[in-house]
Amino acid sequence: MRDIPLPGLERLQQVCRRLGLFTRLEPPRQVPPRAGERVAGLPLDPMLAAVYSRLGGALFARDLYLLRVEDEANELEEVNEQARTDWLPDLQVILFGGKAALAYYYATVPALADAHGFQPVVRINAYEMPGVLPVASNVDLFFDTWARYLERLVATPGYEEDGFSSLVFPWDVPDLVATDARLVRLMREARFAELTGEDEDARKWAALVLEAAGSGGSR
Amino acid sequence: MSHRAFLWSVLAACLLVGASGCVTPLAGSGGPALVEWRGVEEGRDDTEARRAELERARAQLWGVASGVREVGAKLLLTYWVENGALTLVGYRAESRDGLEGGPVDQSALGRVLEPVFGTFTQQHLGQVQLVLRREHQGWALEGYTAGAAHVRPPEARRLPVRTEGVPSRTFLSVQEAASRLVQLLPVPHREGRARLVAEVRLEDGRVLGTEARLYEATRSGGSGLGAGSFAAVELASVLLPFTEGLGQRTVRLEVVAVHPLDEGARVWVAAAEVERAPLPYGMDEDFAAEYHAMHESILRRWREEVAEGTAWVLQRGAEEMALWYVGGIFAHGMGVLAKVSAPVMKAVLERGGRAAAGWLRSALVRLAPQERRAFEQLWMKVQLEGEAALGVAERKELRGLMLRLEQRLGIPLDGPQKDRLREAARKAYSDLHPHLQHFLDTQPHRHPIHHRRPLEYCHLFPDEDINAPRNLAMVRDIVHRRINALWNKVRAARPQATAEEINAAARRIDAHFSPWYHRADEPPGVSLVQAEASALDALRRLFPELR
Repeated sequence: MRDIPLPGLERLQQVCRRLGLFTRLEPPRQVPPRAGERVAGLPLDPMLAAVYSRLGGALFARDLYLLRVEDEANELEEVNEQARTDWLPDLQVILFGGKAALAYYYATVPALADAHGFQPVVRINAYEMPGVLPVASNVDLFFDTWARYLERLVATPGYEEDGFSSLVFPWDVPDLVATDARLVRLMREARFAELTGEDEDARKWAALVLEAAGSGGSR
Repeated sequence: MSHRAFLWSVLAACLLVGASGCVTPLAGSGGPALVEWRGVEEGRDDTEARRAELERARAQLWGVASGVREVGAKLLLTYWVENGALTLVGYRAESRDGLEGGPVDQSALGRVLEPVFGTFTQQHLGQVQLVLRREHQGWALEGYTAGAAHVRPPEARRLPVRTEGVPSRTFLSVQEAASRLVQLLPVPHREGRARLVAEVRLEDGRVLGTEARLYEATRSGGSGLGAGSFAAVELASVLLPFTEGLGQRTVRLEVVAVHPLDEGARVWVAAAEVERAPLPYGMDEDFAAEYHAMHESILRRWREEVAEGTAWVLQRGAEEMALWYVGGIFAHGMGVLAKVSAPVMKAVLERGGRAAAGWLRSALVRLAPQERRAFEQLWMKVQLEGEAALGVAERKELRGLMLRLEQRLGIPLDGPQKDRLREAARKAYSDLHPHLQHFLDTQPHRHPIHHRRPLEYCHLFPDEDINAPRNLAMVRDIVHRRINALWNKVRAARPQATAEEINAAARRIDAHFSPWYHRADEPPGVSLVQAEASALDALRRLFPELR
């Protein structure tokens, strides 16, 4: 899977290094998971498989984590099995990461894969289900957006002290998310409606992204 | 140049040229965040600031001494000295009725002061009283006494400030205060003597007001004429160094006027001392000390570089800012809040301390980013320049923001607000439990931070901080999901739950799940399945319709 370029992931790693943000990177498993391999019954995104061919797990800026896929522990498998049987039975997504120490998860959506099989990414708020917000049209663009978010976050007044008064992902960066042209198109076409349902936050988020898309460029 | 004009020019030399002392609103200050805070700033070289302190003290002392011509007169000046910062805390003049001596020059006085203002004040911590005696052709240092270091007056500074003078606004307000006071001191008739006791209220470097307390003609009566501008120079020169102090205080001045038979009238300040206000009601000493340290640090930055200082304040973290805001509300006697109908806010802030700061920090999330920024700028102006510095529109805007915040306390939080609060809770929790940081780093998905009373009910408890330490617990994800499932049932059973019902439900959930709080492993002797079943039973007794 090394043939799929991952400039977004590389950028995220570079940004963390440059800004001195705590990062933990785990080596990849000898035999990483393959694209299309079933994870709790759903096909693994090829881009996510490419990520796992480079990393066995990660924590970026003490905030964004990538579930581990290692010889001793396969959190990707374990968390998704649990979700399917326990707390997320109806949502056809593959959880692959989240926000550290918070019940916010990031997941790919197999049903909305593009022609290359690349799946879009949503955020799931497990505090208040379903709580789904679309954030990227593929895994690498998701990492790219995160890298740009971190750059902005660090430059924001108050960040050094506690980050509270500064930016929160994704709410405060709809403009960054809106540069993802395919995601915007999917949102315009209401392709996430089945996942988001009538959720008020999802409606608010869609309005923010689409408004930002109307006034900015795209990737 | 007349002697009076000379004295004004001496005093004016204490002025920081070009410093307007105004908070400048900033547009998108995006500079690098600075990490230093409170007390001594790490990595800061204070050599220049210490030098500037001495220069200001020398200039201000010259401002006083240059007007004293009577041979044999003594000046007793008491400073608090710390880290090279000098704060005048007491002044006395004695034997001011002798014959006039010859002129003296500033550099000669500088040499006389060298034993004290040299290395001594750079190393000393505590009070220093120096005694200067006027001789015919100059000044002599009669001696200096180092006092105890253990009772720091509240107005004393601990951080040297790197400025060459006092801000123009301070200088002008001192001049005005002195001019007002001399109008209250009629010059006595020939052979007469009079005494005026007056108070000047200060806050940081600002004059808040003047008040005459006593006028006493000790020999014959007054002429009814004010003492004139000569006396105003004397008053201003004594008062000016006191503006270097911090916080609210009163300088009590004793001014003496004599009118000898064969000479013109003379007026001088016989004594000036600081009267300190007691701690505001409800403000404990630790909180006061922390607030004062932060306030001094902010004020120093602001004095050194007005615009940059303002940006620096805005770059501080929410926790520190909230503490500073709350401390300021105490220090300012709730003045701005007094005219706002905000009973919840008033009640919380009156409790004071870190709890109130935490509450404000969480409550501010209810303001939109631009509103929060406006609030921060306006409140910063109140703290740095006083409420009087607010224009009519600014005062109205600040009160409007406070009112809006109060009104929103009763509205459920929206998604972005909850996200912000959860992130803040995560930070607060890891600060509070550093030993658990390892688990948060190595197993970030397994240990979410749990709000014992969920954020969605925050509006039912408007006077409580939803992110208070007692409301937060790290739990394992599996435990968190069990608790969430119970709250989902409560939500379904009681869509319009009251505060009492939510409190009761939280107590029941805590009663069964608390063994799992604040730990990454399985507590001994308890079963999660059993805890869930027992909590469900308890909730069903509370809400019979719960499924």
